[in-house]
Amino acid sequence: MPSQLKRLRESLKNAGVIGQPQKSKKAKKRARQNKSGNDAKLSKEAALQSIREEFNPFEIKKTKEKFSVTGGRKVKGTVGRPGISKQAGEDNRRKTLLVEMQQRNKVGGIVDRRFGENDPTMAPEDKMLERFTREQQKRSHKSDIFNLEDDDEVLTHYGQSLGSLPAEDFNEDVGSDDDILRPAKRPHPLDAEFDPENDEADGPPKKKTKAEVMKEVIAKSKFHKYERQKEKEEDEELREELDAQLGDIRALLASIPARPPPGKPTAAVQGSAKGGANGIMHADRAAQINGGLDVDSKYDTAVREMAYDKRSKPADRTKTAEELAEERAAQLQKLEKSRQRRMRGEESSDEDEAGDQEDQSDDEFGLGKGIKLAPEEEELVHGASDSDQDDSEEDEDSESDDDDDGMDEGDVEAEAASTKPHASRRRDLDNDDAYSDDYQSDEDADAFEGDEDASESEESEADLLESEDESSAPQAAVQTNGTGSDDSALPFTFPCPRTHQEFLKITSRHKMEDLPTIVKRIRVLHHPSLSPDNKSKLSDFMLAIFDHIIYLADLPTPPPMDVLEILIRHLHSLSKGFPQASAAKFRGHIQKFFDRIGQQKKTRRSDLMILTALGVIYPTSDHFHIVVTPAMLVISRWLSSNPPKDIETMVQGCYMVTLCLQYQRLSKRVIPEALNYVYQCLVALSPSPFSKPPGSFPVHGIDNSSKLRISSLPKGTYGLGKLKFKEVLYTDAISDAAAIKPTLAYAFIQQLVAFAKLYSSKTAFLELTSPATAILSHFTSPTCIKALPATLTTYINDTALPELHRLRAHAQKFRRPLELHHHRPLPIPSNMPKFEEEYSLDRHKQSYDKDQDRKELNKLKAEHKKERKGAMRELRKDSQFIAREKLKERKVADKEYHDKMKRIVSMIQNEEGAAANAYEREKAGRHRKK
Amino acid sequence: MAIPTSSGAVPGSKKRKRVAVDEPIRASKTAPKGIPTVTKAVMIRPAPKRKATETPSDDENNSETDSENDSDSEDSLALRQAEMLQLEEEVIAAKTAQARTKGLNTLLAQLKDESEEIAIMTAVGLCRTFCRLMSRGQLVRHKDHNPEQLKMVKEAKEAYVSYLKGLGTLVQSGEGTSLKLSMRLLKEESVHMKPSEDYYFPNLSYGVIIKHILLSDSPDLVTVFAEEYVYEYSDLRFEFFKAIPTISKDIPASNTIYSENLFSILYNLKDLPEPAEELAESALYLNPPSKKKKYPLFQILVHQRHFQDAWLTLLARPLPSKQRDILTILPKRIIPHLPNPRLLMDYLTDTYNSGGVTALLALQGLFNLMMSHNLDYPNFFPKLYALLNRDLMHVKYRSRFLRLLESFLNSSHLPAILVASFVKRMARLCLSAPPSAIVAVIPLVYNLMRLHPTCTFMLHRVLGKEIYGEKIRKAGFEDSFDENEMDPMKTGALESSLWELETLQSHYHPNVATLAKILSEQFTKQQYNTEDFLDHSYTSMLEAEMSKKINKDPIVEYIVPKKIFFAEEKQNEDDILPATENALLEFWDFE
Repeated sequence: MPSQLKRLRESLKNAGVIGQPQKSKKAKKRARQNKSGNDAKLSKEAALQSIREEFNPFEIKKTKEKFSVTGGRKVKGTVGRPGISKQAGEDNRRKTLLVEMQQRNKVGGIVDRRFGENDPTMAPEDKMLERFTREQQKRSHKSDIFNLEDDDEVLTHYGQSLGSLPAEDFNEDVGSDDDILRPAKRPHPLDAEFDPENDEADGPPKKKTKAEVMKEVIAKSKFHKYERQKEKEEDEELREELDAQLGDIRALLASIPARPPPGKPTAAVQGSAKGGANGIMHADRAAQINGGLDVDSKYDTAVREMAYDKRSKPADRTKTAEELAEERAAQLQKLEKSRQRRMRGEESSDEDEAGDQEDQSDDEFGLGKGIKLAPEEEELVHGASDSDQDDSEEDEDSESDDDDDGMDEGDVEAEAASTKPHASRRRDLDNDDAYSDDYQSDEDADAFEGDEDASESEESEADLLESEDESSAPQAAVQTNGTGSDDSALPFTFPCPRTHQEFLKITSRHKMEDLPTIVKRIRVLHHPSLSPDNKSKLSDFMLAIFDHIIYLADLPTPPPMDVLEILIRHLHSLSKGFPQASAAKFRGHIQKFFDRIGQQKKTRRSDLMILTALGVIYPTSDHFHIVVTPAMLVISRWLSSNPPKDIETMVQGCYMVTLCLQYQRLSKRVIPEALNYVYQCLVALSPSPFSKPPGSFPVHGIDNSSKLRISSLPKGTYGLGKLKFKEVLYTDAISDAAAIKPTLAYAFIQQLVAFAKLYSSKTAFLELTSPATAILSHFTSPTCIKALPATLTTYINDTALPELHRLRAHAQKFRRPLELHHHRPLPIPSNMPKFEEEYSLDRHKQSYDKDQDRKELNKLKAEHKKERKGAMRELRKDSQFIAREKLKERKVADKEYHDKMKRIVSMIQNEEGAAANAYEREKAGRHRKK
Repeated sequence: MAIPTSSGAVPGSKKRKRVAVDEPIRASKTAPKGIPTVTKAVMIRPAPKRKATETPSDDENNSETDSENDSDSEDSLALRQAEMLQLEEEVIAAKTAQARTKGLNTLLAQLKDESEEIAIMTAVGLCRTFCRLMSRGQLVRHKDHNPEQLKMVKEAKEAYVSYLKGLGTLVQSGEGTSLKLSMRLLKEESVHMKPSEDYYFPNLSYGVIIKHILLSDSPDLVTVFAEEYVYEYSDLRFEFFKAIPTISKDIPASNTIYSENLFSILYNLKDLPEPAEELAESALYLNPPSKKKKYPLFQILVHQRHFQDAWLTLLARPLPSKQRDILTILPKRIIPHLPNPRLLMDYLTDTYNSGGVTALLALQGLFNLMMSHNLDYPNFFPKLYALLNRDLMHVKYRSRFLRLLESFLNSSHLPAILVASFVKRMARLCLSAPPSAIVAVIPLVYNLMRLHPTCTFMLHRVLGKEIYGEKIRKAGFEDSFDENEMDPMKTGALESSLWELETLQSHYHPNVATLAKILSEQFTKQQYNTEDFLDHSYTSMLEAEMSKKINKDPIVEYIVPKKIFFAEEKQNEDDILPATENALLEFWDFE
């Protein structure tokens, strides 16, 4: 830094105070021109003043920087001129605050608002002029609001200014020539019909109003319309003329009968309306036309048929047997693949996942909200399972059933043929209802066959026909049983039952054995391809079948199982058509069953039957299935809440366990409840009580009395066998209660082995089956063995136990400690430092905030703080200023007072002095006199 | 109220004067006064008739209307009452011991009358009499009494004691008015019978009252006593606690009514003073002593000591039905007020033996003592481990147990062997547990694994090839866990593996299976909030399933099987189809 002196010189030089500034001549000249001598002197003074101020070291205040900051940060306010800024503030206050202060407690006063009064720079003329214009403006501004003359506000009528209305509206004599009697009606300005010529004729062309324009447009369009009509009429007349001459032309062409043109009938009507002469001619022609009509239509249809005929194409080659098999295999493979995928719980389509991810955030494992809270909807965690299986696949499959197809059709036709004679016979026998039914069936026989033909091509028929094919075999068996040829007496048509009541009404009239035929016929008759209504009808019918299965299963006597089977299969094939409806029905039943378990009500056979059907109809191996998952829950709840108490529940439980095995035959999932149940039952059945039940299954619910124990050998020779559904589940049919226990035990042991096989690949296989071996060993212990039939003990000893031991030994050999965590080690999260491009130290730290809202907020906060501080400072200074001013005032007043007093005192002193002097003088005078 | 207010002597003298003036009117007047108080066990505050007695004209009207309405039997009652009143006057005015004792004895005899109404009436009358006697100082010996007077005092006192006993039997029968009377007497006694100018609490009388109340089989009376007196007034509560141990000595432990009454009073006691509270400000039933602070009544520690004694007395009595309730309130409402909570240890260890949820609660109490009161109880974890029995996962208190278990094991200072035993045992139990239990256990196991990383060896253990290779190839890995070992430090669970939980990854319920998979995934989550998983059941799980909407077509098995209930006899062209075994047919015969 140069020295102070040097800098002073530099700045003096720059200001042009000293030395010879290097300036061009022009610049000098201009400078000389611009400034008169006085001005130059003045500016020089100012420059000097500023330089003086600049170099006054007491005017400038610097803040010493403690640390120098890299990055060239600019720090505001290191150098300041407190004196000057203080002075500025003082001046400012003097202008505002002081005035206010002086005016405080003063009311009124005169504010000089005269223009330019305080502006000395204005010439008096300018002032006058400006004042005048102001005055003028003011007056015009504050004009009377009622002044109609004013341009700004215009009275309007219907948006039109009154002034623009046609002048003659206001002339009284206009209407008089038109109609004198009527008082002059003031026409509506928008009245389009109002005498257009009058307007046009009137005087000079003025700007048309909108209404007028519209009027013109309307008139024009009307005119054009009229023109067109006229043209049309002319054409019509011409054509009529031509028509009239057609007969002649036709006569000429004699052999070719021509079709009347399509316009004819209307022409005829018009003609007849016109009157007589033409009418005769038309009658002639009518006769003529009637003769030629059917020839005509035949031709037409032929043409149309040809138009719609498909072009012949080379057909697909008939596939060879190998190819068909291959296709079928491929398709089965595809099905199996998708099943496997569902079993693993993999999502198939992308949309599913997207939807599920949202849900997952809410409830990670889809467990619901637990007991306390009401369950909410958003729990679809695993998503409804995928649906690769499109309807299109069904199409492909239909081919495989083609052969069935043909055969079945033959069946139906044969039945149709055989019905007729029997029907006539039965007419006398049956009541009116049946009669009408039969009658109707006779009538419809043809139509039915026709339907059959039409629906033949439909693909989904395959299911139904397939089932029919199967049903024929047992039916034949039934027929041989003596019920004879009743099947042939069945009517062919049935109304489609929409409810179970309706279905019952229909079926009550027929034998149970005819049920499959009835169902089949209803389905054929109401095939969806026949009518759009049939879809909903069949859907309802499916529900009726569902209810009927329940109904049949709950009948006190066992229904023929083949009938039930066929009903289930019908339900199955209908479910394929209406998956949603059937799933809802199944779910509804599951819910009801679940509630019944909760209420400790008896389990019905129908529940078992529906669960059986469910296992057939739905893929039970799926990881998640909207029907199967609840069904599994219900079964396991049943098993855990119905510990063995009596033979009846045990039989039902045995069936439930069977269902578990059936459901999990592919996916091999673990069902703790089922295993527990089997163990519990075996413990309950064992001839002698356990000292301590093995394993960790719960034992608190088991009836420990000897009621359930196998106590005595059944009479006669006892052969091991399966449980007989029709015997054990129909309690009245139980012939030998004692024989059931060993059979049950046998079944449970078998199931145990089945479970062991199922779970042989599980890592906890040893733990799962450890009670099994203990229980079976207990069964073969000397205390039990005498109560058990020999066949059972040999089964246990020779088959069950060795099998279990073999599986366990195998499992033990391949048991390894778990190694679940072969994960890639988690990297320690490393966060790269983030660099801000264009970082500046001068910008505030918070201005790099990513969060816009927060940034704004911080900015506002900072501003607020700053303002607040500033305001406080100002206020403080204000008050200081006021105090100072007051003190000044006070001083002035005091001074005035003192001066005054002084003056008075001195005046009095003067007077006194004078008086004293006078007195002295007087005294001296008197003295002298004396 | 049928008895004079606390101002004692003044109304008494007034009454006497008035009786002299219009005896018959008063006699008839008191009849309606006495009757409404003769109520059943439930106490009804008698209508304030005091005002009425001061305005005779009103009384006459009342008596007239009453006598019109009432039947003959009540006339006789009125008559009895009149007699009684006269007798009372005589007793009070009696100059000799003999006369007074005679009068009192007649009245006392009447107290045992079969008719409840008369008995009550007599009780009221006697109360009045004794109050008046007390207010005249005729129940307290004085230095300036002559022998006759001394005898009078002595005999009157004897009569008073027997009256209290009679009153006690009335209370015991569940009579509400008698309770009021006795409490009233307490008050009078504290005013007039105090030996010096000091504060005096009539402990003896109060003890008699308490004893009879606790012996009464009317829960209503006990509730009323508790709510209107014991909970309300600090001094009554204090003396109650103080009296309990001595009273209980006389009552045989087999007396369940007594125990249950005591329990219900102690159980419902909620607002015991906190140490911070100013005891001197609390409401008192009797007149407070002039100088506060000095008295034990105003020392919180003394309060607590008596409270503790009372509870310990109760806990010493067999009360099997209420164990659970006691244990539930123990940590929050009892232990904080006990000066020495460790005294509860014996009780808790004894209750543990009753098993089930009670044992669990006892353990909770012990845990509380261990945590905050420095109790050393080495058997805690073995006992806890023993509670993990086969039925645990199936019982109702499962979630409570698991909740507590988490808090018990929620210390990282526990040995990993111990935690591993718990984990392994729970896993074992899960193999036979309902899904709701599994769902609760898995997050708990996860949390424990996070807390004790050593335990993750149960999930992931790589064995060295050199040492184990040959042995394992031959015989497989030996599970070192001994499920019959009851000491969690010796089960060898840490060397085992959690195959059970791995197996549950193929649980039939998809959600359970998914949840079980968290154990084989990387442990990225810090902790699971087990609270979310504890309260499930079959019902809630089914509800969760059922609330799912059928959005798209559910998958239906594509192939309609030919046979469901029958064996498939012919294998036609469908031999490509894998032969699906039909489990139904293996066990059932549908023919």
